[in-house]
Amino acid sequence: MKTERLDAWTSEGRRVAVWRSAPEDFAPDAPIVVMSPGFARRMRDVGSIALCLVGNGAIVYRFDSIDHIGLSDGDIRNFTLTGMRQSMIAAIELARATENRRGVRLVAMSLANLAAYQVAAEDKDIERIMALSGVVDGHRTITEVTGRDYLSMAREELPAILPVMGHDVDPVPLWTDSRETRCLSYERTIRSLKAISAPVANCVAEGDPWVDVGECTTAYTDGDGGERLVIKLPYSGHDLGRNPVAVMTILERMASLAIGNGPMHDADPQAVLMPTFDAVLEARIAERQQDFSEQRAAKTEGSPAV
Amino acid sequence: MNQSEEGKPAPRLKLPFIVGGKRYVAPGEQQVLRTEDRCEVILPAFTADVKSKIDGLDRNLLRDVPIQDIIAFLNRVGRNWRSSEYSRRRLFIAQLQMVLGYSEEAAEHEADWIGVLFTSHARMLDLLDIELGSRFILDEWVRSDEAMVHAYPVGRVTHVLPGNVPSSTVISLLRALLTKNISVLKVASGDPVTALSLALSLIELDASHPVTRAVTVAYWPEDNELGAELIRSSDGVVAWGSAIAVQRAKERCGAEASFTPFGPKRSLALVGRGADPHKAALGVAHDASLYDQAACFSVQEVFVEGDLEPFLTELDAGLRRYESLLPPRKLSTDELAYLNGRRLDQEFAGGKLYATASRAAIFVAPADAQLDPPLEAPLQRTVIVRPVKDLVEALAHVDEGVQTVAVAPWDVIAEHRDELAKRRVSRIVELGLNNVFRIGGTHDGMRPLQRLVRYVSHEAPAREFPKGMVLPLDQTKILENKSFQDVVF
Amino acid sequence: MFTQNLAPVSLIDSVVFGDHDWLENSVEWQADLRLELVREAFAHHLASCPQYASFADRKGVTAEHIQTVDDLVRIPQLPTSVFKRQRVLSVPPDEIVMNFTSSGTSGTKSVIHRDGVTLHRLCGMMRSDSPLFGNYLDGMDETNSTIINLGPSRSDSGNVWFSYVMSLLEQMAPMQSYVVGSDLLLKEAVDDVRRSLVEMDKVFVVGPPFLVSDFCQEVIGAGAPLEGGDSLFVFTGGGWKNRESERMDRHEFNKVVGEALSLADPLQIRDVFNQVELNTLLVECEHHRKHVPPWVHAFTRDPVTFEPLPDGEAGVLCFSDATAKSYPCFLVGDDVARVLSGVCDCGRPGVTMELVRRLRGSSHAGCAETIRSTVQAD
Ligand SMILES: [Zn+2]
Repeated sequence: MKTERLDAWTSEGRRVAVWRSAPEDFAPDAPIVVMSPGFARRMRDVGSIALCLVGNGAIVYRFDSIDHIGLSDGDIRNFTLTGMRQSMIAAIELARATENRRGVRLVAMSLANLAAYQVAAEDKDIERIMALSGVVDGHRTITEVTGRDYLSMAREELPAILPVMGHDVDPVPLWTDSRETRCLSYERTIRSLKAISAPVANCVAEGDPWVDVGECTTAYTDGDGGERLVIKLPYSGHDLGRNPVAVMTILERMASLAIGNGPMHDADPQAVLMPTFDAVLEARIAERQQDFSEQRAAKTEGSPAV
Repeated sequence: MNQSEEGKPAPRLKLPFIVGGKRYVAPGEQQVLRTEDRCEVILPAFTADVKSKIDGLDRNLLRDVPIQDIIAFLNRVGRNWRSSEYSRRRLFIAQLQMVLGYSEEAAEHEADWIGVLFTSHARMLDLLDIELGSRFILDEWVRSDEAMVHAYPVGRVTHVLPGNVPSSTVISLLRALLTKNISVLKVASGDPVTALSLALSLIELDASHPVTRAVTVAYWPEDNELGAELIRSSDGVVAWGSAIAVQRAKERCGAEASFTPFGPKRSLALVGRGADPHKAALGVAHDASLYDQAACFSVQEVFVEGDLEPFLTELDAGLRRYESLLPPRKLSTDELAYLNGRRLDQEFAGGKLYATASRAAIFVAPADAQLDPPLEAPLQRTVIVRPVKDLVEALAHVDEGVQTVAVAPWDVIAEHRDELAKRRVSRIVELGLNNVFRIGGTHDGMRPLQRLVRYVSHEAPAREFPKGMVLPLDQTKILENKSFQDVVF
Repeated sequence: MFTQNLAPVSLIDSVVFGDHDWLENSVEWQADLRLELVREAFAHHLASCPQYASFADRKGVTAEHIQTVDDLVRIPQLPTSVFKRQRVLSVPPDEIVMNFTSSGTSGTKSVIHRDGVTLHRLCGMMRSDSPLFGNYLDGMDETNSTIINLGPSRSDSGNVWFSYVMSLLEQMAPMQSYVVGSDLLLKEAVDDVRRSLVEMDKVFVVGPPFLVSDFCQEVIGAGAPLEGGDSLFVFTGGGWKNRESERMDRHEFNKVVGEALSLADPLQIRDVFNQVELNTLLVECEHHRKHVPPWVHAFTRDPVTFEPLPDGEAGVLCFSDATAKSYPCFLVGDDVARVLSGVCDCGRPGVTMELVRRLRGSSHAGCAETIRSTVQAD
């Protein structure tokens, strides 16, 4: 897998760091996949998925969201879902310009799933969406994660700093964004899903405290603009990337969905070539090195971060 | 875990080297050999001083000593060893127990063997006759057809000795003395006792006797460069023991020096349909109990034709009987753990544990058991019994690693002897006699005395008609007349 | 709307990879979990490894015999020598990813064939927040820590298990390896540690004790003190190999290393136990006991009878490790140790192990051939 660093720009001119990974040789109709890690995860954290997709012939674009951890502009303190959505659009447009094709598939982790639905609702060239632990009710999930329903509070009740998954987040931008765009609401998800005619799938762990299988099933029933598939994982926890043995099983299924062309529920995981143990390990360490050296380069350059 | 794990200090035994029949006690550096958790043996370091003293010994010391004097001296030594009152013998028995973990009975048996071997003067002469062609050949020119032949010692023979089988040391030394060589006995770390006891018993009898002065006993670790040099400069090397030890000795042996390898061998038994199960089992029990199977002639596997159960019952009883006749060597914790591991390995490979005595064990290996190389034999009286429909099946398990094939009943051997020989075994004996090397027999395919002498021939003069010719040998004339084909018939 | 189900993850994986801190549970709870995990592994190997199944059959043990924690000792175990001579697999051969051997230069080596799952599980336990490490690695992450490896890099470690395992620590933080070919670049390693101590919160020096000892000699020889303080950590593993004669006892080692590297606390030095046949790291706690996670059953056997010994009695160390999928990791080991169940002096409940010494191998020096050197013609 060859990975190169590219820059994409949001409509507001902010830089989104993108890694493009491609097979040495790829078909002219190789699937183009744009992949977004979830909240508090970097694009290098989804390296094994990228490796697997590339190994099966896809061209993969990954990005770190703006106002988030990672290599893009801004700090996670100012995180908003809109920022994530804008970053995704920037990455999609970069992929289209670079590959000179319109059709793009999305792979989204966790909270990025909401952004993926919102983008696809307005972009008919999104061919399919695959999520892992994809959030469907942002409001409820954030309430679960933070322990309180901050989004329903009055602005003056908000704390100055909200610790979320090990990061200090200023709740105000998130709160404001949620009020203005309803982007975290379940209703918005249903609206988006109704507008998406492309196939949509979500792998959800049965024991995930943040994403409920039932909730997802309901959302897919209500928002049945096209083929909808829920894959239930008999595991616990939300951070499925932690368990490499589970990841291998999931990867196989996800890859078959993300690169296939027929109906998702007919996809054949047996057809997927799995990366070797060593390749996953090496990619992981190599990407950490790449991430660190890009961070160092950004520091010396003087990042135009806000 | 036994008491020694709790840090009880092992008993210490301080031993000298013997250089040219003299005790060598180094004041300074020492070597410490730990024989398992039984005891610590302290020996002088193998220094340049020791080596130069050994190098200074006269390699022809025994050359002109008549064989009868050598044998007579050995006989006197042996008579001492035959006496249960002999203090050196008593010390040897105590040390075999302390250092090697021998039972008192087995140690006594070893001491008896030393006595028997040293006093077997008639056998020694027979041995010279058989192996060298004449018992006079080391003393004088002996007529050998158209030549007179005299055998001389090669000079200095270094013996790389094994641990655990004291009689090998005795035999190795006797062969070298019988051929008038001077010997450097390089002891194994597991048995520094036997060689020293022999040398000291010579000194005690007569410190100035040339036979006494022909014996050196030392120890050096495998990687010792001085030791390696000593081997390189020897005229003959006799190497016993593990494949690695023998291989190393061979690599160090000089190009013109004689090399006599007694590398690792195993032995097996064939029990035919007509065998008396009681007698056959007792024979196996003996051959597998002596030296706790550490010897090359120790039976490890038994191929049994016909009814298995009566043989197994008798073998179990026989091994138990030998546990009281020759109680097994005391093993350290580590040796026991190792033994148990190897036995477990036999089970994993397909052996079925039939019975265990206090030490001995019997495994039955069905035909599909994967007891192939490199499965390691557990030894310590572990007998692997392989049932066969016909003894011919045993041939598939015979290769050049087999030294002795012990057979019962005796008459079945006629049928298999040639096949066994083709498969490179070196001895075929009756079951129960593995350790008895009969006069005239061979050792690992050799007549070892021949390797310890150099022959000089004094050949007939021209006036003596060569065999096949009826006139004196005048080569010039023959060439001139082009009559070579005519004169040789 | 379609719904599909993926195969469940096994219990062993959820324990190895999960967030669960078993140390928060009682000794009995851990024992029950151990029973379940090891029994499951036993059933797997019985079903998947014909050689092992037939061995167990000869031993007369079936999965049904393993009903209580006390029954775990009945699981038939293999001497490590089995792996020196034959391939013992519980997965199809094409699933094997790597074949590992022990380090060292002499003798026949064990070869352990590992598949992806087995290796993933090993990797999965090597994370700084795993209870396996107690709290030795608390606060370590890939941005604030660096590892100086007195060993070869993973790509250079070949099939040598110990080197490979140490190199896997790179998952936790960036690592520089200083054994190149057969040379240890001591000066470079020392320089790197000095540099890293300035830039990083935590610096780990990992390697076998004899190389750590060399490292300390290099520091002392350089004349310039190295201020390890509370930032430098030393993680040792493996034995003294062919430098056995230089072996220091643990107390002395800690003193020498602590002084040479000016460590604030000798507890910054920890040792890990592992061998090529074992798929788990047993990491030392503050009280120098090696904690045994619930997926490993450790006990000792009487060297004379090979019968299991009660808690606390020194004997031949034996393991049953449930994380090994590709080979039956039910081992009679090569060490003398004590295994204790209860609450360790460090306060953590569970099973701990204390090494006494390595067993000496064969001392056979007779002339009996013990390993057939020739192979049959047919
Ligand atoms: Zn502890």
